[in-house]
Amino acid sequence: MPEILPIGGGKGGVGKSFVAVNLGALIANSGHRVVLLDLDLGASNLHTLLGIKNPRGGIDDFLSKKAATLEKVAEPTPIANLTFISSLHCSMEIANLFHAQKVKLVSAIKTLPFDFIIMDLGAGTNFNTLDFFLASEKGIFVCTPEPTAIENAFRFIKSAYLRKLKQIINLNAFNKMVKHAVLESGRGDLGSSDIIDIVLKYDPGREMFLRESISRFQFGFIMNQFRKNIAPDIGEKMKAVCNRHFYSKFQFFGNVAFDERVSESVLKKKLFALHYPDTEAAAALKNIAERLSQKRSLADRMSEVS
Amino acid sequence: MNTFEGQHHYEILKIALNADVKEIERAYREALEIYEENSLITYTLFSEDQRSDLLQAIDEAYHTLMDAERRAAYNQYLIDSGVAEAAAFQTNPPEEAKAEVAPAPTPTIKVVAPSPKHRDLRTWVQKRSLEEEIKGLVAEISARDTISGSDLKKLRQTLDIQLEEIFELTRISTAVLTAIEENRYESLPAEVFLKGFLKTYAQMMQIDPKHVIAGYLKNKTAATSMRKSK
Ligand SMILES: Nc1ncnc2c1ncn2[C@@H]1O[C@H](COP(=O)(O)OP(=O)(O)O)[C@@H](O)[C@H]1O
Ligand SMILES: [Mg+2]
Repeated sequence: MPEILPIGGGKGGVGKSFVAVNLGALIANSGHRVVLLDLDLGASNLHTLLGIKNPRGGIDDFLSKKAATLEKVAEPTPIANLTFISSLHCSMEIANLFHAQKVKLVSAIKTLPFDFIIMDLGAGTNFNTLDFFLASEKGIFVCTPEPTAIENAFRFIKSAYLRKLKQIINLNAFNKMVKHAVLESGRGDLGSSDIIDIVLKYDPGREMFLRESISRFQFGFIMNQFRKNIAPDIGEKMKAVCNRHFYSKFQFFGNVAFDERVSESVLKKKLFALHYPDTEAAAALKNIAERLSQKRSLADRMSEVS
Repeated sequence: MNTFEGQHHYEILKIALNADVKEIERAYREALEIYEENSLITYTLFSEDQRSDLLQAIDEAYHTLMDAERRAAYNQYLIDSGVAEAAAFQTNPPEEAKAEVAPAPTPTIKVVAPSPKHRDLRTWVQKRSLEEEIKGLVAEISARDTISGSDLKKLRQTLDIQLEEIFELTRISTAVLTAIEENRYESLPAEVFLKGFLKTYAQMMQIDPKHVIAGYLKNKTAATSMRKSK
């Protein structure tokens, strides 16, 4: 089973693509087979960060059936073990992706023959972006230590969490009253505690099941563009507070410093973390990559044993 | 998203039961830093109402624990309601002393129901169920073929539990609970839901839920058919 790592976070410009591409390169560098998917339809730019000028048809070829499988539209990158699937040629924006196309894409992504599948998601919280994020039980979100970025990050988490709750209700044997109240009420302001209350009211026996299902879902997050004048423990504190108030698990992966050489490296078409390995930001990324791939190695060993 | 519901003052401030004044102050400052209105850590995480509830709970916890007299009373109430043992509140309890107190000290005075907001209802019921009076009542109800709402009400009142507390824990509205207790069948929800409510209510009072459901429904059927035939 591949490890699927969606990278989201709501606000544009926080560094989702930067994080996705650098983590991809670092994990590939340690010998795992990694595929990077650009799922920011309408604003694709991963190819540029990878130094690829003219990406192949990518997702567009897959959706238009020019290619039989998603694997066939993957292309190599200048980095060993790192493969790339572009969405530059997709004519639609992410929000306009048809339901059937999304379902087809999500199920194809889940079976890509790689060790790691990293998805770079776009800004915002439209349903398609959320559904790519929810393709895995371990979504990662990126934010920066600024009020607007944190506001968008929380909006993103709450939307993802709410959508996950609805998915659980939709896919499981909750009674008609619950399904109706949650899925067809037309109430746009239905929050996640409202859903738990609805289940408690109409189907109290399944409340524990709901809580358990939602608790299997994990969020990881990265604080990017971190600057010296900010208290370094803000990420840890956010994690603690989220763990206290949501029923899902949150992990904090660390601060990645703001570094002027990041944009320089884009211009030079060099991957930041590989080109400037001695910087604080690269060290933090490496740390995160190791943490993510260690889990993988452990899971592999466990599955070999069993 | 959950708030501090069901947590006692020490849990809210995330401190040990024997925390000293310094630790309480540190914990309070830390909590404010996290929950205050313009905190970057929780920026827009909570609605205005949620945030003010959280801050109010933090404030109440802090002021209670900083006042020696109020703290002692609060500790006593945690002890009485079975949430914690007396030894846990001692500053640096020596190992031997701990071992000595280990078997829960039986309260000498009749336990007064603490303010509903703070006690752990499950622990409370568990503790009370050991009392002869409660045991007798449960046995009496369990032996009955039909169960009336008044039986449940009597058990609840003997357990010193308020309807609001049950609502806090189970989210079954007090209106539904009252209708159940007063046998106002016409105000009750559809049977599938009623069964769920009865189950939760019975479980909470630690009386066999299957028997309660069966007995209550039997009583209900008998009563409604009587009313119809009149
Ligand atoms: N740690 C960092 N230090 C300096 N610049 C950064 C850092 N992370 C991202 N950037 C810059 O911020 C901009 C936005 O990054 P990008 O990855 O495109 O964000 P997103 O994908 O979230 O919209 C880019 O110009 C990128 O080079
Ligand atoms: Mg991007």
